[in-house]
Order: sequence, then structure tokens, then C-alpha cells
Amino acid sequence: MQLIDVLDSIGKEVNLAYSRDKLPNKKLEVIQGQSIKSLLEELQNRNLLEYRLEGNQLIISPFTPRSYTINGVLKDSETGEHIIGASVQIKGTNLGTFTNGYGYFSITLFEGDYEVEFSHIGYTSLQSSVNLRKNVYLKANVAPLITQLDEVEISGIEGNIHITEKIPSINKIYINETAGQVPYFLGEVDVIQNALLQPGIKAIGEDASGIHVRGGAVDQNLTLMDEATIYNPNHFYGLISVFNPEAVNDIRILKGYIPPSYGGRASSVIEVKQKEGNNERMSYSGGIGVLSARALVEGPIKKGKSSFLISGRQSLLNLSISDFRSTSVRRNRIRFQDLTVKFNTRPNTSDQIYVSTYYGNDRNTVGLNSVRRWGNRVFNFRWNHLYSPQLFSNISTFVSEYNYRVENDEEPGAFIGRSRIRDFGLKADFLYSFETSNEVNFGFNSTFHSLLPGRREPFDPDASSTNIIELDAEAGLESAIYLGHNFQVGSFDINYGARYSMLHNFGPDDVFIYRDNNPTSDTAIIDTISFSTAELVNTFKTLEPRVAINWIMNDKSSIKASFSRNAQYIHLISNTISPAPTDVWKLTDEYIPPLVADQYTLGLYKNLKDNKWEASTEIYYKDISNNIQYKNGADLIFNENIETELLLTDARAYGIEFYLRKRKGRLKGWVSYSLSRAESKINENNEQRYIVENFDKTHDFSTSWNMELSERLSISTNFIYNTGIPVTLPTDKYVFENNLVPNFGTRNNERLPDYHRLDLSLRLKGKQLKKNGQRRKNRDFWILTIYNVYARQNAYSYFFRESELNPGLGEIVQYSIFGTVIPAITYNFKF
Amino acid sequence: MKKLIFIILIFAGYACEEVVIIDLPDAQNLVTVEGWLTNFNEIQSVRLTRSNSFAINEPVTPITNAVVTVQSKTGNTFNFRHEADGHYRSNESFGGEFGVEYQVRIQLSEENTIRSEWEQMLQPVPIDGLFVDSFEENDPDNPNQQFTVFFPRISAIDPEGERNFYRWRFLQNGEIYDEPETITIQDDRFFDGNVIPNNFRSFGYDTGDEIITEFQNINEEAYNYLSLLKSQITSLGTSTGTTPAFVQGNLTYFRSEVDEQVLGYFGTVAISKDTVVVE
Repeated sequence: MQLIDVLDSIGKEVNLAYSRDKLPNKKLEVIQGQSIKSLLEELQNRNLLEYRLEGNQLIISPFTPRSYTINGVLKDSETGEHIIGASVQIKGTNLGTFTNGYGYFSITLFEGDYEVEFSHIGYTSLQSSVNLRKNVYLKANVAPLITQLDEVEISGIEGNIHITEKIPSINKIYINETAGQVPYFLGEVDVIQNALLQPGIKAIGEDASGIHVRGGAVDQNLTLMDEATIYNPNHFYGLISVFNPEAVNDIRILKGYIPPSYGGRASSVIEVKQKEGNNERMSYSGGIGVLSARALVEGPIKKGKSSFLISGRQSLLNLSISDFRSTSVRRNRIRFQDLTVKFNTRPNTSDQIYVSTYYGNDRNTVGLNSVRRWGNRVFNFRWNHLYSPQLFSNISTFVSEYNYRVENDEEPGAFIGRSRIRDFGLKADFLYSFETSNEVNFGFNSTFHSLLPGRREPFDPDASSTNIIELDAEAGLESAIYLGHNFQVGSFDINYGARYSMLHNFGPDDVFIYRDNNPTSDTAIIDTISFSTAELVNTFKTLEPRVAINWIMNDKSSIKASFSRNAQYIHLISNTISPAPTDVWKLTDEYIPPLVADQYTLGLYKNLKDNKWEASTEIYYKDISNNIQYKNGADLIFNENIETELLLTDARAYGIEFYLRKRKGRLKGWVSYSLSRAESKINENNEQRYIVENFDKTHDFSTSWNMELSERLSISTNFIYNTGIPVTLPTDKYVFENNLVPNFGTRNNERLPDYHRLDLSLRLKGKQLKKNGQRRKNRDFWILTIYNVYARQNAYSYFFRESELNPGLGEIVQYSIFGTVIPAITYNFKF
Repeated sequence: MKKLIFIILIFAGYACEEVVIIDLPDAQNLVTVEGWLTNFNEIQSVRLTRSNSFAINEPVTPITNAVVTVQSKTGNTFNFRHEADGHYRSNESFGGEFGVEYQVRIQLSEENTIRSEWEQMLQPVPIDGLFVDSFEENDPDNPNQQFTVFFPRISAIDPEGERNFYRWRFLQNGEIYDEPETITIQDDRFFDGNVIPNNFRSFGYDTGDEIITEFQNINEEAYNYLSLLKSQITSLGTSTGTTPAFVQGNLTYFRSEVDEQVLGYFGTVAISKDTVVVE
């Protein structure tokens, strides 16, 4: 019987209203004796029609599918830690999403029965059945993979995350387990060092502070630790980063498309999320090496609800170098430490509260009389709230501080110099998902920057021979509102949005007016305008449009393109080849306009051999206006008129990057190569021309591999090759007062010799099984690292000096920081 | 302070230095002028040389056939003549007068003349006292043995309310300290109107030595020149050192169409001098 005929016959018995032409024309088997109610119910369940009773009339209407939302949070079953960026896929469809930066996900579907599959690298995958007749909250726990050998087949969906990732130019950095076993100096595990093996991320040299992302200066990276800005991510002059590897959970670097929720820096976002603390059981881990020792304790306060984490790290170098004979070495003390304390609680399924603090410190004693200290401090309070299954919010407030202090007690010029930057921030992000792959995010953030650029005071406050010099404090409110939308049309995944950013400078401030409005020197000051406290001095505004398109051609390949504009209102003023901890930060003001970078990216992504291999290539072009360069011999120390020493230039950076990664099997690793150029337009000898930046490296190749030799033993290696950084070579020598002086030609007219290095490490795990065959609760491992295996003497710089043997003649000296093989051993444990 | 130095010390076991031979860009062979006109009535001097390739195995070449004069804005001209090795001496004794501006003119050929900016002679700042101080230092050859190093200590007051730039020079038994590290300059913005801080431990003397100190009041441009010059000789190649740069002096060619650079500096210095013998 046809459906209509069935209804016709029912209509003879009860008062029925229906529209013939709207109902599907479907053949039915009707069982004799079935009640009308059960028949209609069955038809409704089969989505053929819907019925309802109005008065004494039964209204039959065609079936209209309803949408419901599955939302929830994905957690590590052992630690209760939220998992960021995991794939959430509906089996048998191409619908899916990823867990957000807090481990939450939301997916809206028509009612029905579904299999939801969760997968993430390093975890077993999980499937949950969902009967979607109403909104569903799903708590999903996935177990970490124990050893790489008994690896569970990674599903095809997780396998092409590389293809489905919505935006180009994201690098995930792994520092845990075997994926993170990258051999480095003295056996340290370091976030920044691992990042340097990715395409487009470079540093000047071994001890150079900070990283350069796609031709950007070191201050153009927004480094976030649990969402608070870190101003100096270095310990120990850049050899080690401030992130304690024991506490780090997730690291990603965005170097192309910057989502509208981020801003304030021109080149990249380096987002480091620390663990929140195991809420299932107490857990301890740590390690000890030549350079430092670290430990972490985490555990539940109320099981499954709240947890804490405490992690610390202390340098050990003092012990290691105390054997040096030379007193001058022993006088040098390098110490650093950091401490992370965190707490989080989940009062109910809609709320989660996080408190996070970080305290880092460096103290270096140099010679007898000079001590330098610096450190970052961060306090952060975050509140995640679900207003509805579709509306998620993250509200966070933070205080972030960076300060330094130089003490020189050498009489009579003894002084203390200090500088500080302190931020008070408030940030609110909202994410609303209409349906799967159709989401808007919006919010605002506002940071009050309070800067003490420099103060120099006598070491002994009673000494009268030194005056206090204090540079004017700076105050500025940096704010932004943003809106972003992400949706899918056919095989196109589109992200677009905009950020409206602004900076308000506030008094007290003295604004110098220069002759012809040209800040050439302090003698050109013709007037000074004074502003009182809290008086508005300046306002700067920038509209930053952003767009990214991912064209998923098939499940093996995609093409992504993006445009991103980023404005920067705070600058690190540094004339040295590599920034020092004592360089000062400066807010945009009337003479230093906001730096604006426009970046265009185009990339092709392909998976090969059943997703075993990932390959990608990207090209980018970056246009930077108001890039800061320095006049020759610029004097930046305690300078009240810093604008007189700066040059504002137009800069550009462009390049092509290749990346090939093997993700599965006993041998894993990657190859990365970039061909790039970064340059600034500078007026030299009355001629405007592009000059390569100090950190430019034409070719940059790195490769890192890890192989499981047995259940317990694995080996890792990496090899790095890059073009030497630019140097300025002298053309001439001349004599002034009997001193030989090099006279330089054009800036950066030559390069250092090519840099290459091979490192190796062996990792031996403790026995994993007890004698009776059970798994041991404790896990430990040893790592033996050999840095610079073939003892390459890589040039760090050239010196130009007068020959001691032949006075009056010049000689060029190549200096290498590490000219030898450096072995080291570390021990790590977890229980 | 130089980060590189710390690293060298810390990794004394790892770091290394090596003299290398590199192809350098072509030499420019630029004229170099050295000259400080003093406030003393004496034979004044100027030196002229020409730079050559940094790596070439030859000392810089003296310029011996130039016509050198110093002019004052008040209308005086003082003639110099070449003596030897690029050194030119004034024909007569004269000293710069306070408040008067001076300029050097160097005629290299019919067409090419170099001149300095007009430099004003300042007022010398008096030395109130020159004393001998000392400290003990370990004998590097014999750790149990100490010896005494004598060094000058000066008492002088910075004139209040005016911006001053100073340079200190020291002579040991008539021989001047002229290593790059001994270029000692001060800007009074850290001690305006106060006792001038000084710590001259790096100028070591022995018993019986004669210490001559020259306390020079110099112009801001000369200070900037010496400051940049010093950084270019002593701190290049360090990661926190300044970037290599042309050391801008105050000399140019008369004809503006010649854009060749002139190296060096011609300045005026107002000197206070004092002498003491270490006993």
C-alpha cells in the first residue's frame, strides 16, 4: 500500500488532516490489527511523517529533520588532562571537527544514530555511540599509547588532519615521548630548539636569544604561556627557553594565518599550554642532566573535579663548572630557575576554572662586580563556561611582568640599572556553533601596559657622585575587538574575520617636538609638550582583516591560501646583533608608528602512502611597514630621546618552504627546507636599497629522525644545514691614534660560512614489565646525547683585529661557540 | 657588557678562535685625518694617511704632499708642514682660544680639498688634585705572591648646569696609553654638577713612574665619534656588540660633488694637565 492510501483509510476512522502532495510517496507493509497509534508512531520513527493531536484532530505533516548538538570535552583517561586539537569525526560521513584550545568540542547534526570517533596523535582512538534525539553532552576519555611498538592503527581520519586543518602554516611542536626526543645541547629538551627544526623558524646562532619566524624580528612573536604574554622566553642567554618541558602540554606556532582572536605582534603566535594537573591520581615526574634538574608533582584535590600541579626547574651549571681551574671562569655564575603552580576545578559540567602562576628567574654574576638578573612572572585566572551546547566562552584575566636589573658595585661609578614592563590583561572569547563547520567566534581583549623603560641609580643611595636617571614611564592601553566566521561550502573550508586593534597612550608624558618635525638628535628639540597623569596622549587604530581558505580536493590533498594583517604596538629596542635581556621595550608613540605586516600564504598539502607520509609546501610574502632599524652606532642606553636613533623602514620577507614527515612505523621523522629572504629598505650612501636582515638565512635545511631499535631502546638524530648569517666585512683598514680600525663597506655585504651540525641521542627505557609480567607503575629512562657529533667549528661571528705578530696589519678571526663534540647524559622518571 | 665574553668564559672548554683568510670587497683607499687642536701654546700637529685593504700585508700609506692649514673664525690662518710619515706640524706655536671656532683645510691637489666642520674650543675644567692609589693583585705566575698596582685618582668637579663631555688620557713616563680599551670618555648626564667619578685601575703604574694625566673637555660630536670608534675597535663580532658601521667623523670634501668619505676627526680639546710621581 502507498502511504497516502494508508492515511486515506485511517482518515475514514479518525479526524485526520494532511496534505497529499507534501508527503512522500512510499510503499508500506501494513500489519493487520495494528493500532493507529502504533502505526503512526512507527511511521514517525521511520522519519516518514510527523503527527500531533490538535483538539480532536490529528495533524499529519511531512517529516522535517531536527538538529541537535553533541558537545563535550575530551580527556586523557590517565591524567584527566584536556586534549587539545583532537579530531572528532562522525563515522560514515565527512562531518567532523576538532577539540578547541581547551579540549571542548561541539558538533550539530540532524537527529539520528551516530558513531562519534575521537582520535589524536599518541592516543588510542575511541568510538562512542550517540542516539541523538536531544542535545547530548559527551564526556570522552582516551588512553595514551604506552609504547610506540604496539601502536594501534590510526584511523584514516586522524591521518589526514594535515589536509583538513583549516588554516595554513601551523607547526605543532612535540617534546614528550619519542616524538619529542630531539638531541640538543647538554641533553636538554627544549621547546624553542625543537621549533627551530621546523620550516620558516630560525635563530641567529647558538646562543642567540629569540627566534625569527618568516623573516620577522624576535619581538614580532606573540609568545603566550597559558594565554599570558611572555616578554623574554630565554634562560641562559637563549640556550634554554623558559618553558619547563616537564610541565608543557601543547605547543603550536602559527606563522601564516593568525586567527582574529590573536593579535599585537606582526609575525607569529607561539602558544604554549601547560598541563593543568592530573585529576585522577597523584603523579610525579622529573629529570636531571648536566645543565638542570626538574621535577613535577600533580594530582587530584577532589578526584575527577579538581587538581593541582607544581613544577620547578633549577640550573646546575654552577656545580658543573666549579672544576674549572681559571678563577675568571669560576667567578661567572649562571643560575636560572622557574616555578609553575597551577590549580583547576570543575564545579559542574558547564564551568571550569583555572589558576596558573609562573615565576622565572635568571641571575648571572659576571666577573667580580656585576650582576644581571631578569625574569618573567605570570599570573592567570581563566574561566571556561558553556552557556548552551553551542555557546562556549573563555574569559581570562592575567598579570604578566618582565623585569631586569643590573648591579655594578664597582666604585666609584657603582650603579643599579633597572627596567620593567608589566601588563594587566582581560580577555574574553566566545565561540558559537550554528551547526557543524559553521561557527562564529568573537570577543575582545584589552591589556594595560605599564613600562619603566629604564632607571639608573647609585648603588649606594648615600653616594652623591651619581645622579638618578629615570626615563619617563610609559602607559598604554592596547585593546581589540574581533569577529571571525568559519564555514564550509562544498569542499571549501573558509575562515574569515577581522580584528580592530587600538592603542591609547596615557600621560604622564613629555612629548618632544623636533625642528622640522624630524627627530635627528636631542639638540633639534624645539619644544616639549607635557601631559599629566592619565591624560590621553595619542590614539592609534588599525583594522586587521584576515582570511583563510582550505580547498579540500580529496582526502589526500588540499590547497590552502590566506591573508593576514597584523599590527604591533610594542617594540623591543635593540641595536645589538642578537637582543640582550637588558634591551628595553617601547610602546608605539608619535615617532614610532605601529608596525603593520601583511602576509600572503599559499600552500599545497598532500598525504602519501595511506597517510604514512605528509608532505607540504608553502610560499609566503610578507610586507612590513614601519619596521625599526637603527642608525649607525645608535646609543640606546638610558636614552631619553630614543626616536633620534631609529630608522623606520619598509621591510619585506618572502620564501618557499617544504616539509615532509613520516608519521607511522618504527622510523619516524621529518625533513624541512626553506628558501627565503628577509630585507629592509635602508638609505645607505644616499641610496635607498634593500639590505638583508641580520638573521637572514637563504637556505635552511633540517631533518630529525627517531627509530625504535627495541622495546626499550630508541635512537634519534638530527642534522642541520643552513647558509651563514650576513656579516659586514671591512673594505679598508686605517689608523687612528695608533689603533687599527676596520672601515666597513655596505651593511651585510657578505655571509658567514655555511652552518651544519649533526646530533645524536640514545634513549634507554627502564624495564616496563615486572618479573611476573605485569606492567610496572614507574617509568624511567636515560638519554645519552652527543651534540655536534663531528665537531664542526661553526662560525658564530668574525672579529676584526690588529695582528699581534705583525702590528699594523689586520686579521680576521672566526669565532665558534661550540667547536667540539659535547656529550651529556640525563635521567628522567615518572611514577 | 658583552654576552659573548661570558659565553667564552663559561664554555672555555668548547669555544675556539681561528684566524681565517677571506676575500674582501675592494679597498676604497680613503683619506684619514687625525688631529686634536689643544688650548696650549705649542706646536700643533695633524696626521694624514690613506687607508688600504684590510687584509693586505702592508701598513697604511702616509700622505706627504698635502697643504695643511688651520683656520680660525676670527680670521687667523696657521700653516703646517710635513715632517715625516704623514705627520704635519704647525710652523709656529699656537693654542686654541676659548670660544673660538677652528677648522682644518687639507689641499690634496688642485681640485681636491678636505675641510672639517668648525669646532669650538671649550674651557678646560680644572683638576683639583691628582693622587696615587693602589690595589693588590695576584701574581699570575705565582698564586701565593701578590704585588701592588698603582693607579691615578683624580679629584675634579663637573660644572653644574652645562652639558659636558670629557676624555681622559694618561702617560706613563712620557709614553701615552693608546690601546683601544683605554679610550676613556664620559658624558656628565650621570653626574652633572657633582664630583667626577673616576676609576682608573686599568692604568697601572710601578714605583718611580711619572703619571701625567690630561683631562680634556671635548665637544659632543667628538665624544660621539670616539664612542663609536671605540665600539668598532673593541666590541665587534660579539652577539650583543654593535653592528659594524662607518665611523662618521667631521670631515668632507670641499666640493660637494665628491661623495668619497673622509675618515678620522679633527677636533678641539681644552686640556687640564697634572703630573705626579709614584713613590
